[in-house]
Amino acid sequence: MVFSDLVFLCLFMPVTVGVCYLLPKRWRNGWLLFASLVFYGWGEPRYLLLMAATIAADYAAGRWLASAGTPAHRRLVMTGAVALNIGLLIYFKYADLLIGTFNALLKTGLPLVQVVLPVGISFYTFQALSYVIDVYRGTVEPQRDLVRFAMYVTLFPQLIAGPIVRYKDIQDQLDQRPIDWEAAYEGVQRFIVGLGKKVIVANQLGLVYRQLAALDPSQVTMAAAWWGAVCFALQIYFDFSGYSDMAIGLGRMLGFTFPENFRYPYTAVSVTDFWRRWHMTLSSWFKEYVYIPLGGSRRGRRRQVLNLLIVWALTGLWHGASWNFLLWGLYFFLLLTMEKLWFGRVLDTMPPAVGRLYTAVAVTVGWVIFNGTDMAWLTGWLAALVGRHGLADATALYHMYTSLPLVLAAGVGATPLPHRIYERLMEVRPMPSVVCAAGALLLAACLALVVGGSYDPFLYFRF
Amino acid sequence: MKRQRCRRVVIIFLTVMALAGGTAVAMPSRGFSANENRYLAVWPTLDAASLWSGLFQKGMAAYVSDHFVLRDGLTAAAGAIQRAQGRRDINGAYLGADGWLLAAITSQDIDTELYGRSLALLDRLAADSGVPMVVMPVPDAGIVMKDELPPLAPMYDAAALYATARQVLTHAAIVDPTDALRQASGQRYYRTDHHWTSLGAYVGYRCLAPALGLTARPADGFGFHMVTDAFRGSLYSKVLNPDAPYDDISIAAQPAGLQVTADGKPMDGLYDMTALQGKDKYSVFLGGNHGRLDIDTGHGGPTLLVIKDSFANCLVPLLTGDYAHIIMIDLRYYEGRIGSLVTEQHVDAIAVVYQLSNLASDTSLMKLALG
Repeated sequence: MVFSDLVFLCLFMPVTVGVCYLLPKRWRNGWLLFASLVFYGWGEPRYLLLMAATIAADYAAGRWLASAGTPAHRRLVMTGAVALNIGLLIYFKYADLLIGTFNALLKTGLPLVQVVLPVGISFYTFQALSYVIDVYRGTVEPQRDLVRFAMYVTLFPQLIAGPIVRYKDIQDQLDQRPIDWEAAYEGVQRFIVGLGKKVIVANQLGLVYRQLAALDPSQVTMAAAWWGAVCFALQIYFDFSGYSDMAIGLGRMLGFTFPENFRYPYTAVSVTDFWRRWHMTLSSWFKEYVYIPLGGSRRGRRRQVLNLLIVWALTGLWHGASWNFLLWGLYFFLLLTMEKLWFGRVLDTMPPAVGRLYTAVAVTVGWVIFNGTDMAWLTGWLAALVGRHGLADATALYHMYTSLPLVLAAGVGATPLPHRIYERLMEVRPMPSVVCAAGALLLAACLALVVGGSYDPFLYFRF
Repeated sequence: MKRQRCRRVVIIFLTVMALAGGTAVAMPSRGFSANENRYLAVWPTLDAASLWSGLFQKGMAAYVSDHFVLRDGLTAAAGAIQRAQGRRDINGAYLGADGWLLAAITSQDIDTELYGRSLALLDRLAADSGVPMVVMPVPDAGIVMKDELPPLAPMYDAAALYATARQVLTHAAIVDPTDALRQASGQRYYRTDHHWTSLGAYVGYRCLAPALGLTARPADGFGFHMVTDAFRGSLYSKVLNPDAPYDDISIAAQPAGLQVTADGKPMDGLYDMTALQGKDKYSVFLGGNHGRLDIDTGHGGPTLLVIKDSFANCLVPLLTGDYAHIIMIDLRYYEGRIGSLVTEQHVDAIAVVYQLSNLASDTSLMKLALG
């Protein structure tokens, strides 16, 4: 199920949240577990078995790690659990990429496994790993209650598109979770704003991008190539941060506080800064569970660069089982290393606008690589970006003027400005009725586009 | 905000959402949507197999969306939001000036390789049968009425497609009615449908007639008259804008003594007047598309085979005065062999009448390869 689906919006969500309010406290976790399993199994029920296996294995690993044992023994259990989680992820996500590449390189004919990627596997696997590793490290107590643990792994708000919530972030909320109406109200607000970002902005930008991306890349002019890339950059920001807003909002309605995932990434003054603001829970996961264990920056400059290379290769591949994602990760590795070594200091001496422009261009080009699962398309589009197929044509201009208001609005919406104006208004004169009316109107507009606008892509099917 | 008030807002939000969803599920199935010109989803069967495969869940999503409260109003609102964002095309229809909707067909929708193969098969049919053939692809409204398109709106390259046809067809004549349609005055295409009007078809007829060796008859002789002024066609069904205009449909008077048979079943005549009561009013012409339709005109003359799509439906009535027998074949629905049909029926001439973009994207002409 996805959040922008009417079955979710008008049946699953009100029933799940409403019943949660009505139930006595001790039944709420069980109810949320049940609801999350329905949510997860809705599209592909057979993957409930996979989910059950993940839960059982990680729960058992946690209990095992708790019952002392020698350090070597504990290490073995932890390694086993991590290997199992990563192994499932590799099988379901990367097996065909590896087999296909092997076949292409060695001219063999090994059959592909051709499994459908279980939705959200990259997100919940990382959550489960955070639990096992932290229990091993002794930073969290193992969870004894199977229902609570299973609920943590499957919790529907962040199950399929993040944020990646580490176990230690919400372990206390798993049993102590009073319903706070003010938080729930904020949650509703946050949810509606997130839905609006997804269906009113992101989906509509997606329509423009889809039309431009469908053009023959050998005939795409520079204007069309940049406009398409900018549309996608804004689309994925509004889509992804909208999803995170909806997840955080749903969490608030249910009494959880999830970590923030985006902080106006397109206002970043460097690529380093961008990655502190974009999908923050993923960046911090890789930092905490890969970069620092590898030694981070404590083992000399050379080792640090190698560690960055490993982290960014993995970050790239996490986004999809296709080599262009590796390329995308390496692209950021290069930019980040360059900034660490000397370019960052150069940027610091310049006005922030220069850094913002450089970051925006670098990230936008990055999105082209991100979308280039087809190498011929990617090289054609990159050539178009530097004007190899002409500067502009009627097709480019048509798509530009027919999406200009949307792109401008989205550009402003990606800065803190609208939120600041809202905060200021509330300070000067809080008008709760006006806010509620505006929220209702926004919700109606969202429903109109969900019902009437047929284009609703799910961008994370590769993640 | 105060705690009580927050609570109230949260509860109202959840209740409204649940009511909207609950009504959609509880509402009886609406069956056919005249507005959207399609059958709405039916409630899926619930059993272990359909749950396990996810079919039930998919069906339920479609059902809830199709039966959502105020669906037509919300769809109209969605279009209004998109237009406010600057969009000038919705669901494959350009929003032109003066309420015009024009099919948005770009070079991405055209399969030039398939088009070449279809033309080559037509050419082979002409060569093998030895029967004179005329091919008239009809350009789309956006090609003819450029001024009605939104500024700079991309369309496919029709001139290039006609040039290809002239190159590939060595045993058949090619007729390009684009210039004639551009120069004609009056409404040549419907504003809310992708077809040409009877007036447009008459312009096409004037181009086609000399190529078939006929003398084109003047328009007065056909007795064109309006049969409805409440037509909202296929493009309207894509956009569903409440401010869309209504189109008129005019038809030529039906000559006496005709016998029309569609796939072996006798019809009342050239026109199915009951279609005017429904949504798909363009089906008034010959009752829509049939695999094979025979018109016996009851007077003497040669036999004409028309290989066609729906664009021919309003043109063929204009040809009845010049032929004793007209056979219309729609390859999308016809399963017989065309080569043997030409021999058995002693066909004297073949006319191929298609919407140009359909001829350049429809795979059913590949059936001609069977012979």
